[in-house]
Formats: sequence, structure tokens, C-alpha cells
Amino acid sequence: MIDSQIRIVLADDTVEYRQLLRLILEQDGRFQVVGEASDGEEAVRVAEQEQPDAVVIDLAMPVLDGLQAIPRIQAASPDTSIVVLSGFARGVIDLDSLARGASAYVEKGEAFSTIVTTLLDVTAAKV
Amino acid sequence: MAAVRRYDVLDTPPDGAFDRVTALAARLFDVPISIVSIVDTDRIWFKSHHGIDVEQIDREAGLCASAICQDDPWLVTNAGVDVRTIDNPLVAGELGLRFYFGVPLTTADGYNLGTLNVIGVEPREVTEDEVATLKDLAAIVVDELEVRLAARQKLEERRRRALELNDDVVQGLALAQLALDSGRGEQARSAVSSTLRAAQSIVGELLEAAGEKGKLRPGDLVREAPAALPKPSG
Repeated sequence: MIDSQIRIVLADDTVEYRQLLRLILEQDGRFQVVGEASDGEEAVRVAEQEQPDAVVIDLAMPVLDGLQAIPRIQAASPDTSIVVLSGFARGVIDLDSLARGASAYVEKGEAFSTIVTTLLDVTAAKV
Repeated sequence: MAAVRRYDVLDTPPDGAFDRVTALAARLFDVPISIVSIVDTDRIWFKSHHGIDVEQIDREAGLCASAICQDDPWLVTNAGVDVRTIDNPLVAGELGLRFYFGVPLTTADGYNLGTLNVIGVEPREVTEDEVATLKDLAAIVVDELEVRLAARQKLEERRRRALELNDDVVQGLALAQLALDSGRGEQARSAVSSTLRAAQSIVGELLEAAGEKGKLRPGDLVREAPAALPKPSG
């Protein structure tokens, strides 16, 4: 079972949000959160170290924002899918996120099941 | 140079407001050329150039560089005999410029960004009235630059406020929703409370920043329609 779990890194500077996301993803059973980051620079570092199946990344963060971090995560961990989970509504910055290499864009506030299905979709090819 | 950067005017597209000033200056002085020049580290860039199809010039070759370095108008009545300009390629060369009169574009805080100048091919004197005229036109150019700077700063401020709302309000509500979705009522309630406080504090700051205009008076809070939250979209 452990082997088939999807390995996830969470990058979000709101600690409570990140912790809650971890709890819920882990309760689901199909995901294993292998690392967390509270800024873009740390996200790149943790992704490089963990080579996860997916990184769930916020956009507004200290040091390096999500848009800056996406291509660097891709370079550091080429097989990792990147899912942006942001407070900005679609139409503001979703296309920029995808253009910079994210596989999907999810608005914070969409049903939690959307995050789960998106993570399953973007990692489907690899599991 | 920091002041020039702050106004962010270098290499911006042509602008009718400045073109009207140079056209007017050339007409008033009865000369073929008038330029709004902005100084850069190694060049003089022309925000507006009436009567000459050149967009920039090396700082060393230009007549403007000398004008920018001082706070007073810079006048050359006959460049062909003036020791300051006799060797300048614009004077000795094909263009054969003779008359140059430039007034620095001085900002409210005392920085010279460039000049407004009028240029002729015949030697010429200027009257006191003409000095006052070019100074007034230069002040109009600076006013226009200030208006554009203020508009840009206002947009920047709105953008900063939007990001602040995202950080303090959207993130809090997103957390509350995630908590609700996962059946954590207590955590949701706590996130909503702190978000409400953050939103109230932003409203307070915005009103305070508006100064006297932000002060609420009886009648200001009369709504056109009862407050209604948007309906959930699905």
C-alpha cells in the first residue's frame, strides 16, 4: 500500500492551511505528504531532495513566489507534477501558472474533492 | 539618475501632451526644433522631438547635458563662435546649429530630469519674456510627468491592497472552508473570527488613509439597497 501512495510536497506559507491539507490528504489514504515548505525557495529545495510525484504550491509566498518557483522545481525534479493551489480566482494568474510549467490550477475555496481528483489526474501517468 | 528611474519615462511611447508643448515652444520662439530631453547614464533620450527625427543622442555629443547639470537656463546665442559649443559636432557638422536655449526640468523635490529646449540654425538672442515663457512650458512638462507618476503610484497602491486582501482575508476564508469541508467546525470558526478581524482592520486602515475624506458622517452609511451577500455559485 505504501508503495502505491502518491508522494506529495506541500508549499504554502499559511501554516494552519498547510497542516490541515496534510491531515486531510493523509486521511484519504492515497497520498503521503513527504515534505512541507513555507516559501518558494524552500519548496525548490524540498522538491529536489524528495523528488515527489507532485508539489502542491501556493503562489503568494515569501522569498520566492510560486510563479518563480515553478520552473525551478521542474528543473530540480523533472518528473514532479506541479499543482497550483491559490487564493486568486481563475482569470487572474492561472494561465501564467500553466505557462510557467504547472500541470493544473486549483482555486482555494473549490471543494476539497477537486484537489484530490486533480492530484490523481496529474499523477495518473506515473503511478 | 534615481529620480529619472522613479519617473520611469525613458523609452516610453510618444505622448501628445509633450508633443504639443514642443510644437508650441518651436512656434513661440520661431525656431525649427524643440525637444523634451531626459538624461540617462550614457545618452540623452527625447521624450518629444519637434522638427528633428532623432530619438536619442550620446550624452557627450549633446548640448542638453550641459544644460541639465545646472539649475539655471542654458543659453547659447551663437554656437558658431561660443567656446562652449564651437567644436560640438551638432554645431560644426551638417546640422549647423547656432541657437540653443534649454531650461532644466526640475521636479518638486529638486532633481533635474532633463530639459525643455528650443534650437535654431540662426544666431539669436532671447528676451526676458521668452525666458519666462520657456520656464513656464518646462513647468508644464514637469507637471505632466508628475501626473503620470501619481497615476502609476495609485495603481501600485491598489495592487498592494489587493495582495494584502489576498493574504489577510482570502487565505483565512480558504482555511475556514477547508476546515468545514473536513468537518472541523471549531477550526473553521476560529479561522472565520480572525479573518473578520483582519477585514475590519483593513477597512479601518483604508478609511484612515483617506484622511478627512474617509471620516464617516451621518447619512454616509445609507445604502442604496439592503446589504446582501452574493449567492453561492454552486
